[in-house]
Amino acid sequence: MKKILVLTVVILALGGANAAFADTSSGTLTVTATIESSISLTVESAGGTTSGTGTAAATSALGNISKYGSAPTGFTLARGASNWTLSSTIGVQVDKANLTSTDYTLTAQLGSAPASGVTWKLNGSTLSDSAATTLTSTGTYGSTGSYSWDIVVADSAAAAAIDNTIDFTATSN
Amino acid sequence: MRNAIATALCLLTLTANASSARRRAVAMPVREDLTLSFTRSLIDAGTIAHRGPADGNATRTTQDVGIRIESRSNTSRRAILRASLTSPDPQVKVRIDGITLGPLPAVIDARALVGATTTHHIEIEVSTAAAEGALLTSISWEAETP
Repeated sequence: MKKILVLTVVILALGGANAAFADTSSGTLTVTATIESSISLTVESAGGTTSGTGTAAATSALGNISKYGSAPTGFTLARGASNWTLSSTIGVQVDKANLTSTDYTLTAQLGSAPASGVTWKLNGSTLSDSAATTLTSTGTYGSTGSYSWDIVVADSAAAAAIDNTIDFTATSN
Repeated sequence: MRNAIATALCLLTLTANASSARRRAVAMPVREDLTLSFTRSLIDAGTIAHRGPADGNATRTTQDVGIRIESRSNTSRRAILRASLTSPDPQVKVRIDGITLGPLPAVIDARALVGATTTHHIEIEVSTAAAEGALLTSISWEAETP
């Protein structure tokens, strides 16, 4: 009786295994792409009332400025014998992606000629609208570089808007 | 009496086995019954370039692909759809319908409809640490009857 039961179980098990096979089909889908290296520059901070920080197009509004008025937000005001200087900093960050470069060169240039009697400086170097000024040639990716920003206004400068644009260019080394 | 019981049990067993075999002959799919086809055999994601800090530490691009499972014998209504990467790259993540693929098959759809084309969303995420150049990866798909 024991033998018969064992035989029965084996037969049933074999039958069950035979019934449980699953049908399978397979296929392959190929995915291709080209990974392109890139760097990005963002203005992280600046004196004045700023907007657009964290992007590549920030704006800083200084409002009305004068030698004997108060300094705009984020600026200090130093009065000289024949001029006065507004000082602040600009924070610029350059990030890289899919690039083996270890550092970058950062330059700055004014977008238009400065108003007469007004000098724009970054890191102590006078900016112009005709040539780029190198701020660093060993910039570190992924960290914000802080650059001193001075606007020197001669006492003789006409009372007028001093609007301008500082164009930064980062180039991977 | 022993012989009688033995004979009866054997007959019962054989009868049960024979009847299930007949059922299988009608209802069970034969091997190679399922077929798998794609609306696109190749996905070219084009150029993948990081767009800045907003992208974080990776660049993502998405593509859709339609997959059709067919049953030649029309006996299967549902199938289990799985996918895996043939050569995973730690710098490149591939997700299908939000499921991250690896070297082992992952279930994409446990009840995929047989006889219909279903669109699946493929997301390719490339780390900023990945080297520039050509990216080539293969997704292995398999459909199986439950």
